[in-house]
Amino acid sequence: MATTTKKKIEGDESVHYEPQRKKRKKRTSMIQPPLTPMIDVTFQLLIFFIITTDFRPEEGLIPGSLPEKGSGASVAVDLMDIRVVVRPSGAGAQYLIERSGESFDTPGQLADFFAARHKALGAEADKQAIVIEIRSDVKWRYVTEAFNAAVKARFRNIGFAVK
Amino acid sequence: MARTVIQEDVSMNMTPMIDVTFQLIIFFILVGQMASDEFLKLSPPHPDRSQAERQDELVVADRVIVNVSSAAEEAMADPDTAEDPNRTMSRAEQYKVGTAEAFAVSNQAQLKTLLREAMMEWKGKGKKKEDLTLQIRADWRVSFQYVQPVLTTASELGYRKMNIAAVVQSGKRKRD
Repeated sequence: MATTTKKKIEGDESVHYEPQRKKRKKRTSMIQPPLTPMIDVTFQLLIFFIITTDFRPEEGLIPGSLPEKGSGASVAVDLMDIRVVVRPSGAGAQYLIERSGESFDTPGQLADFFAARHKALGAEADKQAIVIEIRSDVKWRYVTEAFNAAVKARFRNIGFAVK
Repeated sequence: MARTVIQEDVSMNMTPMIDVTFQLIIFFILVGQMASDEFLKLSPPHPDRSQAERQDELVVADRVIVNVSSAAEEAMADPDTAEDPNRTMSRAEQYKVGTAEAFAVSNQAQLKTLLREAMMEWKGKGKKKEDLTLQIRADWRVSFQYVQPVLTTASELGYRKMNIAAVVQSGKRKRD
């Protein structure tokens, strides 16, 4: 004979039958969305970014100025200007100081020359004009090097002239 | 007495793995810089002790970017090109002004038209032409003969300010 449970209700003389099955606590089942497709898509995205990301060197700007309309150089040609002629030399370029005849093979040497010149000029350095004369077959890299060297020496009046 | 074998389910905890994966994705999204519509793919010069200052990405309205790309980029994709490699490297491929389509360097008229349009648009906003900056972004390999027309044309049209794009010296933020 199956065991039965008997429930007593207050005020009621009769005994009520309650089956065992009903007494068992209902197990609440957790509903979890399927994670596998989500992980698959996440890894796809990650692989996409790893393959397509192309890190490039950080770019900055060197400020300069352009000449007045119609003139060939940034500054009026003055006998006291420092004129630097940039011309190709082998695999690189040569920087020739027209007035003194000095020539430099590396931008570092040119930068040192400018620094020494700026120091020698003292307060007059702001008025000193640097004219960079460029041969048309010189690579842009060496033009930028000459300009950068003059900017580094804190000259303010720097211009280009084309030969 | 019979032995009772208890079988346990061994499963890997996926939560930390998903967390790390999302961290990596967020890293790539934030760090990766999407190529600007104004830029052509080229290698700017990297001067010794570069004085280039990091550009303020937010200030874009007062500049016109002119890109001068090198033919060397195309030649690298086609190694069978018959041209002398040294000549290819110093030859410019295209100009690109602002967000307009890139065009061949032989089309000087287009260069002048686009620079003039940019200046007219600037002056149309009631601003001074001297305040508009020409930003030259040229590949380090191109000859000056391809950049010189940009300078000459801009000067004729009234541009006064100019910036030259160069690689920033690593570990430096301000000019020393």
